[in-house]
Amino acid sequence: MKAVDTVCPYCGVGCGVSVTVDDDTHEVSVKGDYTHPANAGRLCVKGSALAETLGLESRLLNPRVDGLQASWDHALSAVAHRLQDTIARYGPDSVAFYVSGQLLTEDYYVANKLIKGFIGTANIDTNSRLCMSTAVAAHKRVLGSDTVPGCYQDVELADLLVITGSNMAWTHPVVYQRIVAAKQARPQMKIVVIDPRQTATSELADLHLQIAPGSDIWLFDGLLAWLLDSPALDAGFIDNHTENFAGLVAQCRQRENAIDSIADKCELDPELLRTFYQWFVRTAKTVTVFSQGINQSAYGVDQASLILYCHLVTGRIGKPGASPFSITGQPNAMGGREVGGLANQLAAHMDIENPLHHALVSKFWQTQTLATKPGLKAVDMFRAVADGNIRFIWVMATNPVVSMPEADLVRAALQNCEHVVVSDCVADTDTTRLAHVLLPAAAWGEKSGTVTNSERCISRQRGFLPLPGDAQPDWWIVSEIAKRLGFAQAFNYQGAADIFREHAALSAFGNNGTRDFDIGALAQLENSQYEEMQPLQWPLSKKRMFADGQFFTPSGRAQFIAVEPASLPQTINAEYPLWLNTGRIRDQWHTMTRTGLSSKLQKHTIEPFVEMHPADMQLRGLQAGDLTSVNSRHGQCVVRVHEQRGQTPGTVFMPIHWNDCFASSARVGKLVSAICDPVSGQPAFKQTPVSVSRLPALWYACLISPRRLSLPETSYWCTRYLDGLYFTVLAGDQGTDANTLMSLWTDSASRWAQVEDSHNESLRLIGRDDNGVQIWFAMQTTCVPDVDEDWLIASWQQAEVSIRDLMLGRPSGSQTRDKGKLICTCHQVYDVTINAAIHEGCDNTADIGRKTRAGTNCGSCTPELDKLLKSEVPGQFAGPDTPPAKEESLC
Amino acid sequence: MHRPKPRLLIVGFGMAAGRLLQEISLQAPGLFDTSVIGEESQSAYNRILLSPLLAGESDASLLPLHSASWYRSQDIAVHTGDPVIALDTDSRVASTASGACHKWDMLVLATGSRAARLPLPGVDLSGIVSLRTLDDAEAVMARIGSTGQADDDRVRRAVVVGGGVLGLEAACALQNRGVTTTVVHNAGWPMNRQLDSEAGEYLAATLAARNIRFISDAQCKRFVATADGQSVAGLQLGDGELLACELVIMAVGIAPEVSLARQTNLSVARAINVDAWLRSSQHGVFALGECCEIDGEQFGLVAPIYQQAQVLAKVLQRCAESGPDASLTDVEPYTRQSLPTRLKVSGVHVFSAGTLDETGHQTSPSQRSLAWRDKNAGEYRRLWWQGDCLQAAVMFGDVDDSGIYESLIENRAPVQASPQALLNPAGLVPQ
Repeated sequence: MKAVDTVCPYCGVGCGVSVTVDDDTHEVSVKGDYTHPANAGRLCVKGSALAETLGLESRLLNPRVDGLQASWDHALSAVAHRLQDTIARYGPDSVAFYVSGQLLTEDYYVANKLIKGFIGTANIDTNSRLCMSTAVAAHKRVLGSDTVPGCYQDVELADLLVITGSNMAWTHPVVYQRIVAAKQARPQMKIVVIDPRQTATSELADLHLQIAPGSDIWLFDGLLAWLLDSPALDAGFIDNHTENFAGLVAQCRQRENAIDSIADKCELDPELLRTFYQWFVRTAKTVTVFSQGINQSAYGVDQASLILYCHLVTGRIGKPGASPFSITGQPNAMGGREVGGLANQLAAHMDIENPLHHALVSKFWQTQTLATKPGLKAVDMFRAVADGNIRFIWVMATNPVVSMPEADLVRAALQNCEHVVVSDCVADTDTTRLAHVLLPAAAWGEKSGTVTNSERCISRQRGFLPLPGDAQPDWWIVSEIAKRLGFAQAFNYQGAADIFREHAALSAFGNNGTRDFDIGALAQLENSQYEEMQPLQWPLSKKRMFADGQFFTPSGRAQFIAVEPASLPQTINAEYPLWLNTGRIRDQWHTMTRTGLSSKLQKHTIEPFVEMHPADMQLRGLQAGDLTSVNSRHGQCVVRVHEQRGQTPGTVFMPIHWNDCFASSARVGKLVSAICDPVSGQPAFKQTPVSVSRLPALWYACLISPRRLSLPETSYWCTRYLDGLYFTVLAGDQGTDANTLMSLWTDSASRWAQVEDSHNESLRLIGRDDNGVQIWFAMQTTCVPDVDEDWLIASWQQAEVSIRDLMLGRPSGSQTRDKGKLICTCHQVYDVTINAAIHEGCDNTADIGRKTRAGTNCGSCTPELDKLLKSEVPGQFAGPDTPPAKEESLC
Repeated sequence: MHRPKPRLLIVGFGMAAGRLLQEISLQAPGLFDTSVIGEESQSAYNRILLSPLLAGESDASLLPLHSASWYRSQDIAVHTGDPVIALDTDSRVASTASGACHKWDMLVLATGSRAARLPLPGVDLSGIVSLRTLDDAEAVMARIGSTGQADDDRVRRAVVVGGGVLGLEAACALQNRGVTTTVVHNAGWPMNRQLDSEAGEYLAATLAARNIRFISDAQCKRFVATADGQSVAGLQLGDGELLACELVIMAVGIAPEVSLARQTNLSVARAINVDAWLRSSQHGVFALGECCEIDGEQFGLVAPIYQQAQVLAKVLQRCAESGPDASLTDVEPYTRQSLPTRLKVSGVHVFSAGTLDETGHQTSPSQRSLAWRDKNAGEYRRLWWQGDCLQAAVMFGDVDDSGIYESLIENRAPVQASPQALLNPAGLVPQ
């Protein structure tokens, strides 16, 4: 039995994961690392299912050049040659790297070093631009450095926890679980959730401020104004540690920020707003957690700055239980920031445009060609690709055709680009489909290096599986290219440890306390020490930053740069009358290239959707489950409509995960405008005007097959991979018939059985070959045929199940599948079972857990369990012995 | 004063009569002085088993409905091998071929039917037979013989005229006995009255797999005689093809045996007209089975005839107790029922139930049909709906669910046209 401690590759919480590999069966099992400071043994549903994502079916295992499999030598030479050729003809600014918060720090470091230090352009940007660059910019502008002041413990210590722009119950489940536990231990702890939607997170709130889309900036501006006149103002801290407070006050005073006016702009009950402000004033231990709802905005840096200001004017920064807290989306977004992965950074938290920093890095890297000006940020980078100014782009470990705004333009740009290189661990993504050269990268479980989580904790990610096929770590791939470009001296690394030592040394180089990021103490680690390295928080001396009021600005004081609240850059109108908000769902990660492989995770939300308030649905004649066309001025998506009372009328929500590999038309990036914050360059993903209308279909169908098949002419499809079978739901507006389908799939099956309907209201087909059933297809005119997926998977090649029963798709004797909706993904518990347990007397989530096991592993579903408890047993929470938490918040 | 028992005379001694006697023994024991007169030399036997008998899958000893001792124990006077040739309804006397006279107080006609014969040239040649009676079957078996028999006498090739249930059963039986058999049929597919064309294709494929040649849409022109002009040597078809054979089995349907009834002044259409209590146009005269018709409905399968036997036994009891004008309002009359058909050929499973369109089961616009076909498994079924009611079902291959469809059709229980109903009707029945 091999046991390895490593880190989860999903969100920015950075949970420790203990992996064991059975010596004989090679079976991998995964559980939370009890010794890791981030999670102390907890794992969320996605982390718990990691072992299911390790198969090689979807992996890219060999280099490919211009569509043909190639040796590494050939592929590396081809990339180096094309890179050199492009630079020679069009200059270094004609090339770009688009990298990822999925890369390890060491990978990131060499990519950044190669392009900025030796190719001589800063055209490297990362998908962190889409999630964290606003927080980075606000931190730097206000605090002088990209430093998260607090740590996870603060969310437990706070007496008032403000969560804004984050559905952390789903996006950062383990930190959320820590909050739930803290709230249970100290029910007097207040939680305020600011979110235009009711979410799993707002279930926990004492006060949910369901604000109008994009009005956060007014809410925090109003809070700042309120604080200026309040006893919470910390004049000592302001006087000693900040700059331009007078200017801030002067500007703030000019605005109409009476509570009624703010409430009006936020579309809130003024009393609720006043409650929040009062709580904020009177609670010294206040933590404000902010994430994408703040960051992904056209004025994100301003609203993040306002949050920082509210904490600075009250002196609540970097103190236990009192701090602003930007929580990061990706596993190594922070590590990427540390090595300068963003186009406007250098390395080790140094700035390109700072001559001192430029000289330091040039000297350390021993290069004469270090880039002298910031490169293009993500949106501009792909625009430059589209314009032909960038002619060579290397995409590493990310899927911009899905994740970028105006994603169809990104696709078109890559389609027309002269040289597209993609290094990835997955063979088929929307982006790899456009690559001229594909380079197989090592995946989680194979690679080795470090990542930094949201609380500045550096953890080792360790490999426990051999490299499959030709796959290689990203740092190796980049270094080999560098060598072929003639930079062997600077990239002669023997392993990740070499790179880490260099990175640590650079952080200390010429630092002397002038820069926040300094891990120079680790620059001398032996290989074995690096191998054994335990999770470490930087700065190595303390858990929190800035309690001493020392900031990394030239003056050492935090900067109050006046902020003018702006209006949303777009407006809804008759053509696009709804605000589209986007975000994650509980059980999927990013573009599903890995979570899409887990059967467990694929069951929670089975198709892409748009959530809508019932009143808006009624207005459009929509029934829950209808297929709809969601349109913006940039594109169209086809998704199912879900009824969601928690959605404010006039707003809709769509998940970000689906892409062209899993669904016909559900890349939400197609809809979103590439409008960016002017300072950070981060796109505003949260507010796009759209229209939603019913998409009528002639037929709906379900196709199941062990291999992916060509699809008939459809207006919609969505595929999931469950236990060796692809489940595809389809809808079409062109008639089709059995003969057409049988000839379409003639290569996959030779023997057919079918259900024929004289009225053409239904059609079913089973196709077999010598190896058994290859195709299962059911179509009808009313809705997608109902099948029992678990039963079908279990029965697929069972001789004792008759073909007729298999064709029906349900076990003999059952009329309809009635397990309901999957709630607990870890233990596969459905709501019907949970409701039954509630009826039998379970009146809390712990009881439900004991009875059904639901919620006893990762706990991600506890908000949903709470919801079921509330809806199933009305009045249960209104008893005299239960704290009237909700009621109080309404007073 | 001891009143004599009324004399009950049953003319005809087939399955209808046999069943009626059984019903009387249950419902009205000892009420009558009962006589039954049959033309065949046997007492009532199970005619349905003739094909299995021919196929060698049944035994003659299994055929009789009742034993001789049973008739004795019921005090029934049994007269076999002596057909009634005349009825005098005024004096209520039946005369037989042997000259015997039987008086009655109540008369039941159960004369059944005759196999129909095509009026073709040569139809009277020796070797052209029907398969209606045990005698027919025994004669055919004698001609087929056993492997030990001299080759000259053995039938090696046979033609079955008619591809309905009986014809196919006979053909399979002959083929089973080593006789090369051809079926000629005047419609597009076998069992066209019970099956839709697609089920017919499955059935035809099964026949072909058994090396039975099936000629559809065939027109029979004439029978060809042997050189001596005595025996059949072949059948010539409309297209000129000559099917050489030593034996022809006519299986082109039945004709009600109503010659006695026509001699009297009973009302007869295609068969003897009776009401739902099996009463003919004349007091004290009843009819049941294949020789009667009720509201134009004629009979050829046992299930409705068994029901008639049950009704008639009750009616007779009432008449015995209260006279011929007894009120029958509380006697459950005969009601039309759906008549499922099953082919009795081992290894071939065919089922048909419900009302089908005689033109070939083309689904009419108001009807909806769902079909399941699995050619590889040799499985087919089609269901027809009118609104929410299952109207008809045809199955080939796997007929395990036939009972469910039969009861759904009979009960007219609402059931939606759905894949569930087609693929797994057991799931529709509440647990």
